[in-house]
Amino acid sequence: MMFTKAKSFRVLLDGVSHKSLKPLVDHTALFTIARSAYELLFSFELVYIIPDTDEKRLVMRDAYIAASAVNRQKIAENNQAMQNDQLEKEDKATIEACKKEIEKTSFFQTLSNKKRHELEKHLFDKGDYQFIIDKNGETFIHVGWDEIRKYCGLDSDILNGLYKYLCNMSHPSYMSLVQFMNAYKNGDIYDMADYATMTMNIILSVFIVDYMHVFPEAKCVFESKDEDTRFKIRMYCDYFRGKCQNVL
Amino acid sequence: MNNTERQEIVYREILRMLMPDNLKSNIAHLDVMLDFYYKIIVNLFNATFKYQFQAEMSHSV
Repeated sequence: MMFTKAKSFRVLLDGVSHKSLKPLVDHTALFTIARSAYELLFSFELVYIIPDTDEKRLVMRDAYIAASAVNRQKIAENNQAMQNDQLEKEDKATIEACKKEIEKTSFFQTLSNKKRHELEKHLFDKGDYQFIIDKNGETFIHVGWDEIRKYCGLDSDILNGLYKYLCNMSHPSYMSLVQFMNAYKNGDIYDMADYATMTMNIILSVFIVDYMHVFPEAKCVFESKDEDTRFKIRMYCDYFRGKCQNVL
Repeated sequence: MNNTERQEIVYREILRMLMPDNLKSNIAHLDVMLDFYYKIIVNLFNATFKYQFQAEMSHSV
């Protein structure tokens, strides 16, 4: 999914034309993809990178699956046209299976009753998998997209407010309407597209580096590349994580 | 400040200076990462994307 997002983003950078219209770049479409890629990156981080044990990784994976089933059920509850008995049964079974798996873990069993209730409500009632289990097994719920990055080494001040900015530029807010109007008048579109592309590069760099961490087979491909390519792939990740050991 | 911290600051400054500062360079950078990621998912993990949009469109017409 990250590949198709990044590739779609790249295609949009060439501009879209219609009949006699010369190719145009719509920066709000670029930011919409960048925002979605940002959420995808941090979902990946929540499940694979932030947990420090395999058990916590399994809890996060089950939470991720269950939350999506809970949310699909909610959509069906509010919209008759979306109701599908077969899917509803499948979702119910998925939620139950995930719940059982989570309850079996030593992490869950060591939680206090209050914490268990809090987590279950957050996950199975609200359908929200954005929570963190720290090294001591402490849980932090209601962790927003902008906060998650702080748990995976991306706490650089430069990234503060980036998610909010992506949201503002993706939504049809008044600010984004004014910027859209001006973008084609004074050439701001160039800077907007440039910034969106840099953001996409940051997201992709962190994602690829962490992907190689989770799937070490991919490192062979990385190592087969020349030094310049390896540097380009890692540079944003290194910059924002402040790590240099693996490249120097 | 120890030696590692100092090295990291220097490295980050080098990275900052090397970061693409225009759209053309940023797009070239994106292309490098796309090519690499494509190689991983297609060559290594055999992602196939068999069900293609064009095929779907031709069925629906």
